[in-house]
Amino acid sequence: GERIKKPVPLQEQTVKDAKGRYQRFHGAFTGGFSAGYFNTVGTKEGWTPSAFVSSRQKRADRTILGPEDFMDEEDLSEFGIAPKDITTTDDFASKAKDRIKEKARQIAGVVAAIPGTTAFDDLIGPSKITVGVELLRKMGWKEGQGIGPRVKRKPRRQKPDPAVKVYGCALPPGLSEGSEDEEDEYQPENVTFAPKDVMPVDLTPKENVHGLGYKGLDPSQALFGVSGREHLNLFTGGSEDTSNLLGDLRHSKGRKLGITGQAFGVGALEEEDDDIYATETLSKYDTVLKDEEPGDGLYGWTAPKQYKSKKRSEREVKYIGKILDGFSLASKSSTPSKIYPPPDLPRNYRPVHYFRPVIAAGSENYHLRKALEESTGKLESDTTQQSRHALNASQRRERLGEAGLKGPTPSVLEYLSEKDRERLKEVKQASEQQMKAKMLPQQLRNSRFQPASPDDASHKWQMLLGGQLANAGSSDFKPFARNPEKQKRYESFVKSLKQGEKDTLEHYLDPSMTEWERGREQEEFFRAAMFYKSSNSTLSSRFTRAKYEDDVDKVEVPRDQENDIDDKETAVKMKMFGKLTRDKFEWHPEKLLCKRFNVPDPYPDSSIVGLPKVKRDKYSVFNFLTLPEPTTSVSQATNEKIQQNNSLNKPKKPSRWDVSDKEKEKKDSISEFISLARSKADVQQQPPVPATEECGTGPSETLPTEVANEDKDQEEESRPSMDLFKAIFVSSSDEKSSSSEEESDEEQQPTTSVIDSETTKQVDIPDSSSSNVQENVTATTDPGISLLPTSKQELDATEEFGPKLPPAFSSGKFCSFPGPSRKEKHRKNREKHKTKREHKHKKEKKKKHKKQKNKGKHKNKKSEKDSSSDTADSSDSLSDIDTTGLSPKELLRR
Amino acid sequence: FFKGIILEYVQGGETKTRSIDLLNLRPDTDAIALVEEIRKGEALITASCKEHVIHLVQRLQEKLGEKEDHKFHLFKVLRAHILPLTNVAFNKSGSRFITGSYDRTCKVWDTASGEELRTLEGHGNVVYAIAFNNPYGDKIATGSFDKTCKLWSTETGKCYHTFRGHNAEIVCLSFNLQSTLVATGSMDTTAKLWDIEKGEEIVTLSGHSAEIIALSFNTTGDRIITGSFDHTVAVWDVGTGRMLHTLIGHRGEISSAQFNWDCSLIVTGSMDKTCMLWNAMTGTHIATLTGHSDEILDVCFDYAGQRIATASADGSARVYNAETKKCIAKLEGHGGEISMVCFNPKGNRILTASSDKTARLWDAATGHCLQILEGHTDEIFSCAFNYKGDIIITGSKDNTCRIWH
Repeated sequence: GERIKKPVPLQEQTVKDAKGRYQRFHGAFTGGFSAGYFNTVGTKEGWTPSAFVSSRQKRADRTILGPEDFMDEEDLSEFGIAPKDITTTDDFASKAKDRIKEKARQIAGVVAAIPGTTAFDDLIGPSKITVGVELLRKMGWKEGQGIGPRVKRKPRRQKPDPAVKVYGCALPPGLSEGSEDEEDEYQPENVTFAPKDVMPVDLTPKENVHGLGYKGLDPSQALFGVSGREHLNLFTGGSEDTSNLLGDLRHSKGRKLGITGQAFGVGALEEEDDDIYATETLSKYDTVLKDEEPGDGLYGWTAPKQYKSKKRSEREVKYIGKILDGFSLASKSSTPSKIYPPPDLPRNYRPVHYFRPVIAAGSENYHLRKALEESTGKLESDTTQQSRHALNASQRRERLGEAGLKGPTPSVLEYLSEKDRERLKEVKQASEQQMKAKMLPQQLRNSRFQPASPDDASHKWQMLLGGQLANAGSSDFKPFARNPEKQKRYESFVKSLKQGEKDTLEHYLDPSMTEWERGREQEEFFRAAMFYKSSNSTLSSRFTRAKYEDDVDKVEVPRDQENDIDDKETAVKMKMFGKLTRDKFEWHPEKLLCKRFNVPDPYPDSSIVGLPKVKRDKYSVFNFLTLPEPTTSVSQATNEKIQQNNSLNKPKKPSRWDVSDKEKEKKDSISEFISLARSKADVQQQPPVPATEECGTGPSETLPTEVANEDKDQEEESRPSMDLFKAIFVSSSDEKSSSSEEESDEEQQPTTSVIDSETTKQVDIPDSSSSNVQENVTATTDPGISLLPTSKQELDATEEFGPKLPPAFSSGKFCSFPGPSRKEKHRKNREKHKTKREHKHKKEKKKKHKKQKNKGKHKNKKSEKDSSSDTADSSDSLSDIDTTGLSPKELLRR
Repeated sequence: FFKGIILEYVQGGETKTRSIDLLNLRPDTDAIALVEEIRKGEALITASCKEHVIHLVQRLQEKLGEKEDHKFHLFKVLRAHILPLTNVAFNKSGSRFITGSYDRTCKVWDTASGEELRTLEGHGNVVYAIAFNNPYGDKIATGSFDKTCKLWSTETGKCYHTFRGHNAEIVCLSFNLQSTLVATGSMDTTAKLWDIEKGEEIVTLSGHSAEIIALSFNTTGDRIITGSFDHTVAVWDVGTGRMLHTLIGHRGEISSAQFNWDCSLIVTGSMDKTCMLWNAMTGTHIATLTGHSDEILDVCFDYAGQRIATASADGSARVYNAETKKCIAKLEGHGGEISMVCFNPKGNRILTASSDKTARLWDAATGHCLQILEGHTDEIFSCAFNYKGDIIITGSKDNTCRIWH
């Protein structure tokens, strides 16, 4: 019989309290309160009754529980049954706020509809100091002062000095004068005063006999309504007349259209709470798009007539817009400030800034620049002429005709042998030119369709690629796999390129092709080779594991850095083995390690393990010295022009995908450059420098690289000197077992070698610009080196490096060398692995410990045993593979 | 308030009793004819005692026919609890009553004087469910949000046992009529039966998937029903703890469930705004009593099992005839949800406690509001008649208990 109601959706059938909990309980269950912790009166911690205390002794401080003790927090909230509000007390409220408020009140009192009433002040008043006030205060303004520069007191009744420049808002002359009158006579000469504050005075006379603020019905409004006249723009037409004519009518603009007013009170049908003064009516809104304001700037407020008209007559033509209360139009128009158009951005401007290491200016740089100028021709020298910033000190000195500095040259190079320096310079020049050439798109465009110079181009390419191609070798990179013939040609081309046969390059190209085609193909090959090179390196650089965490500014880097590699190299050159060729690192062994080897802990109270680290800025240049950043060396170019190009062309981090595009842009410039640089390269034919790259990559091509990442990581973070390792390990019982481990090590070897080759690359292609010494290192990228085939001599030479062993270098090298050194290195390598393992184990142990906390005691003991045996194993005789294989298993088991 | 006669007789040297229920006895029933009818089925009533029986029946009729124009007046305001009261309960004679409170205590009061006799302290949380072991009244059971139930001596205030085992708040409890068991229902979705003497758990009634909010023994004490937030009511066998029936049909949480006196019917009230009647034996659905526009918070049979009263959050109460399942009366007038409803033992009055701070007395037959018991300053959570029906107690959120004579 009941009317069927619309079914309530299920989700709406539940009642929830303020915290979203279901309110299924009523009445006594909730105690009339909203239920506390999930419909209980308890808390998350449970109900903790106050402990019983004998009331005999402690009658006085017997805790009497009030109802509040049993209430929920909701009941104490704003809308609860016992609201407890936290409000700002006056102590914490801004003092200055009151003054401002007061002033606002004063002004409001004058201007408000009902003068003197400040009913809404508390509601509207600023709760905090506004930014403007804050700024003014910072500029030295104090409450009560006016705004403007400090002024000297003017003699009484004198017109304001026209010479005084008034910044900011010029005071209305009348007002400022009036306030001046009250000042006393005392006027010290050199004392300035802050300008007086100005309080706008509303001078509207009360003309009617109504009560204050009363505004009866305006018949004109009712009659005219939203007549077109209301929207008359005063400034376009005969403003004076219309404004006078309309008189009060203008005030009605923006007012309500409907008949509302206090006289009517609240209608029977009106809601009493309605703000009848703010009733929205359609007439408030413009129905037509027009000039916004009636122009009197009063927004309907009353203002003295004469004041209004005066203003209007003055500004009329000049100023269209609203003038705020208390402001008047300046009598003198300020000279319009000249507007300078923004400079035209160069077309290839990229609004991204990155830091280019500034080349250290030195005499050798000058040479370099000279060479550059030669190579790039007029353009180069032009720009150097243009910009004095591009000059270095020596250049400036030269130009100024000053005598050279007597003191020692600051460069490290000075201490090097003549030969070395020579070599370095050339290397640097060459590399610099390489980069420069990449940066010349204009020339690029010119030479793009000039197959006539394939010869040139090839050499350029060759120059450019030579070094890197050494890495590429006969890899599995087959860019023209679809066209076997072409691929074949390409391969032989690359080979020849690698061996430095400049002229024979053309032979590998298809003779049946046209010259143009041939040129194209050659370029294509170059590009492919280039691409392979760059993608090879970029990919490897892409997919390294993050060395540092992203979200920290500071990173930990080993405190002790290796000695400069080039120093070592030079030392080796001079057969000065010993101190120079060794590095000393402070290394903190793990406590357990010391125990196992029965040696006293050298740093008993150090908490760190491994190399001591120091916090450094993450993005310090120094941290990236060892990162492969082939493009940064470009920044050596101090030339402005080049830098511009640079910013456009140079991919900051070339990815595999965008390389080809970039390459297109680059190629011609590169070929251009190569032609210029070729001669140098030819001449240079440098003596062999340890070609670490070559040997490093040799085996890497065929060997698996699965573990690369992880190991590499480890490699980078721990580079303890071998000496220390020796000291620790060699004497141990390990010696014996090392032979048995050999096999397993060999299996692992490949992976490390790959890694190492990569790391060596990283070392070899550093950010060369940061220091002179660093540039030494770039020598390895020099094309000259790559021209050398791996020879027996070299092997010997590198073998001699053996003991030196800066870890990044050595491991890369030895892997390819058979012979006596191999075993030793193997061992070292293994030892390295061991330390890694040590680390790993530590981690594992930590994990274990964590787990153990969670687990019971039995398991605790067991796993303790486990871990200890693990570490024992690893440090004793377990092979690499075994342990590494073990760890995941263990992890799984847990 | 049993409408019936208890015959005491001696058989083989033992004193035995036999009770004859006269649930349909009315003032206008022919007493002599009734007794003749009884005699047909009852060999005990011999001709010699027939007159006596007739006299008894007539006295019963007299009592029923008494015109009750008793007006209740506030007798006392008891301000002993410092926090809202949860429940109130009389003992059978009405000489004592107990109040449970959010202040974690239960207090025993003398009805006549309004004095506090005992404070049963020991619970660590709100004392929510309280009960006398009527009809004996010598023990008190208190169920608390501290997950325990305690058994106390009425006279000494000594705690006999603390029943521990629930994992959540105890929200309902009941003695069986034989006063051998206490049943507790908890938010942990289980109900437990406890042995009063040994203080041990006898059985756990688990099977509900949500909180148990109501439970009730039948008169013989071999069945117990539990109402749960899982929208079902379960009928359990007390001896084995097996679930006999599950009464499925409600579409909302159960708020209340009760047997009628002869245990043939079960009435359940639910948040789905309906009240349902079930066959207690078979567990089949008999009827759905609709009409309320909001959740039903409480239901009860009168002592004769003829009427059903429902209290709803919509501020009204209804009286239904248990036979016809028709709504007899609507008790309208409360300004807030009604949290509790009860008949007087005689069955002609209904008392409702509401969150509008009043309790109201209604005529069960007509639905007229006879009296408004005003005075509480906050919601009233519970109310109770004494056995005689001349005293009312009300427990409120305003921390007071009021006695009305």
